Amino acid sequence: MVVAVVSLPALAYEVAGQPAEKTDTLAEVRAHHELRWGNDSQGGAPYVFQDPMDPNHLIGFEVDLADALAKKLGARARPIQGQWDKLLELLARGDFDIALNGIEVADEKKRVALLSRPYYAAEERLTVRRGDATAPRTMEALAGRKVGTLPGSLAERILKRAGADVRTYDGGQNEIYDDLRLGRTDAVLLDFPITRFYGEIEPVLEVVPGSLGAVQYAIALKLGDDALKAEIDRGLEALAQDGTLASIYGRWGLWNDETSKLFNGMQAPNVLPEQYDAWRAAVGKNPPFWQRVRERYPKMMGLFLQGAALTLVVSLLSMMLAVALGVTLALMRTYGPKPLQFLAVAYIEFFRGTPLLIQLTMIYFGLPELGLKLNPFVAGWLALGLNYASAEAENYRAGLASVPGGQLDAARTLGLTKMQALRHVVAPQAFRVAIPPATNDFIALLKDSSLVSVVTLTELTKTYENLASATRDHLGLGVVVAFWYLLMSLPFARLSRWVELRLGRHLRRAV
Amino acid sequence: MSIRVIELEKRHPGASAPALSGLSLDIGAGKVAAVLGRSGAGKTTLLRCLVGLDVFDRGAIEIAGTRIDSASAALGKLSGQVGLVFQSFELFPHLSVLENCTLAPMRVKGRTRDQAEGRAKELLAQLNLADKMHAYPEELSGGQKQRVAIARALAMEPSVLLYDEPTSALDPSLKHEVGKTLRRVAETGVTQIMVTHDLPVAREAADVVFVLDAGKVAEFGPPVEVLGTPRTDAARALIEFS
Repeated sequence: MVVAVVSLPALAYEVAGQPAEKTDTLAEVRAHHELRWGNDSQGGAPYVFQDPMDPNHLIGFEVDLADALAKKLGARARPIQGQWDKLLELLARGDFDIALNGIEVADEKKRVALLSRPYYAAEERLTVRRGDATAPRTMEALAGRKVGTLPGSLAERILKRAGADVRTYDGGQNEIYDDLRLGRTDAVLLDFPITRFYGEIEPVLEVVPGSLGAVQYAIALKLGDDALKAEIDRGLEALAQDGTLASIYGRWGLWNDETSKLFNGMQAPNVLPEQYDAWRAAVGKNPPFWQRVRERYPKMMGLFLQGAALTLVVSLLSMMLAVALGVTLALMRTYGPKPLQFLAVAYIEFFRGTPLLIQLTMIYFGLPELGLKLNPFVAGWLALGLNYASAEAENYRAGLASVPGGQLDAARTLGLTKMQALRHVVAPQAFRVAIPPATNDFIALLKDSSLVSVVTLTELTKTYENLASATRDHLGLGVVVAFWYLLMSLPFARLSRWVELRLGRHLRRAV
Repeated sequence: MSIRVIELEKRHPGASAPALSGLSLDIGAGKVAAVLGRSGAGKTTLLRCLVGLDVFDRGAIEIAGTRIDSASAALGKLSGQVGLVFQSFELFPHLSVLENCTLAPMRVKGRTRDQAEGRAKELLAQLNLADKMHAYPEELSGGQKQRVAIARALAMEPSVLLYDEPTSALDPSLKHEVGKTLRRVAETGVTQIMVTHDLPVAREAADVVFVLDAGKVAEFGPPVEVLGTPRTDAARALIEFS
């Protein structure tokens, strides 16, 4: 798991081109006694991941490192979830103080962030199927072969240079090694820690001896945070000297000579690789499904409940915004003067015709350039609400169109104002027509709300991805998460049917 | 209350000929008038101008001494004074019969629910609808719907009540009822004007008949005269046609 982050040079430029805000994160860390560090627990072992034995805990060698480092700064480490390929953008936005999650030292990153001294060095290692005589085992043999790796990584660049047919994966390490095992790829090239935790533990896989390259990890900081960087560098040196660093790497089975050299020949640790062994024991083979249902899944209830609650709250609030705005837009389009009609149409076409992900990215990462920095929840709520308003507007427009014009005339001749007529006569009839499609939209929104994980919110889907990645149990947990989604969507389908019948009681009694 | 229409003119946007070209008429309080004429003679436009759904270009309308000219002819000005019973009734399908009759008095006149319901129940009883108060429009026959539409309009206590083709949506056997209903409403002093093609109903229920042609009144008088011994081509054509 190696961060690529800004593989788009243009974007990198834009972020770098921003006027450097005056930041003094060090002072803030000291004042609040808290070091907020960004990571993506979906990335998996051994960096930052949910403990397969107790998913309520985040573990990993970088968790231990962040804790130790924060202590040196007189603070407590607080992990903040962020999508891995967005970590540097989130950092620039100020969502956390540092990003610490297998971030590779590379020149293009230095344009958008400060990098600390490296804290870990690793070889790029090749994994193949055991006993596969035709498998590529050297750099030369890679040409034209299907090889899996993580996008934007040093490994990817090496593979491209070697002329391999590169397959990259956004999800996590599991998929990369699954595809190798299933024969969809011929080899995997990745950093030593990943190879150790995903390749070595598989009996059917074989890690090829020898290195194809060397990578270093560093901590990323906001541009201009030189004081904090100096303090972090000093902290890392101190951890190396007092043996803490060596002990962390040792317990995770990650000790190597390259890292020792990074810190002037740091002494080898005298500890057992207990965390590595625990991982091996936990995920080597998943227990049978019913045993997982009885023993493991109940422990995950709390996490799923949190994720589901966030999904539900953000969806409900977004739907409220979408309905309120959608009704306004539909009224503007149906009854408003020309300029308002035009505005409504422009709004609807824009938000309906562009991807929600882009809208969310613009709101969360783009608006700060204009000085408007929204918190993740508000940004997610706004993006979903604004986007779905366009769908709702069309629903209500169809509803309004279904009410005969004579109804409005009749209400007007009785002396009702246009607003009163719309509210008491037209709207209730239109609403009933709009309910079934609106329910569909809400259920779609419930699912689309998984996009807010891009802006650091761990909702239901992200919870699933993290847990599945940590426990390597995609199928079983998939059933669990499907159950949670249905638990939320089915009652709304029922509720909408009930409301529809109630509003339509004049029709139900009809012959 | 009496109603006077003075030199009313109206041209629809884009139309080659005016819909109303100097139409005048005068109807006494509590009278029932029938407005006849072939399609395009201006009947519907007259109704829509009287009720305020259309704005006229020139002329004036006087109701109970209140004068409305083209500048002030907005819906708000006439609302409550003039009611309209639509050809298709346009009852509010999502509201019960009683709610249809109380919506406007409560929202427009600020009546309390009790006041509005009390008055609506009286009107519904007068129109033989007491047992249908809680029914929804879908459950009513054509004649019942029409009487609800009348009750709904009367609940606003208008001076003038207009009918657009009151017999066209009814079963032939019910047409006779319309005349009776109109006479009953006339007893309350409300002036009524119906636009119709139905000469028998005009004969039976109207005190005065107006024949429209090309946007103005061609001939008017008691039904026996106008429909018995017509003096104009417009009136003669109507009688031959029917």
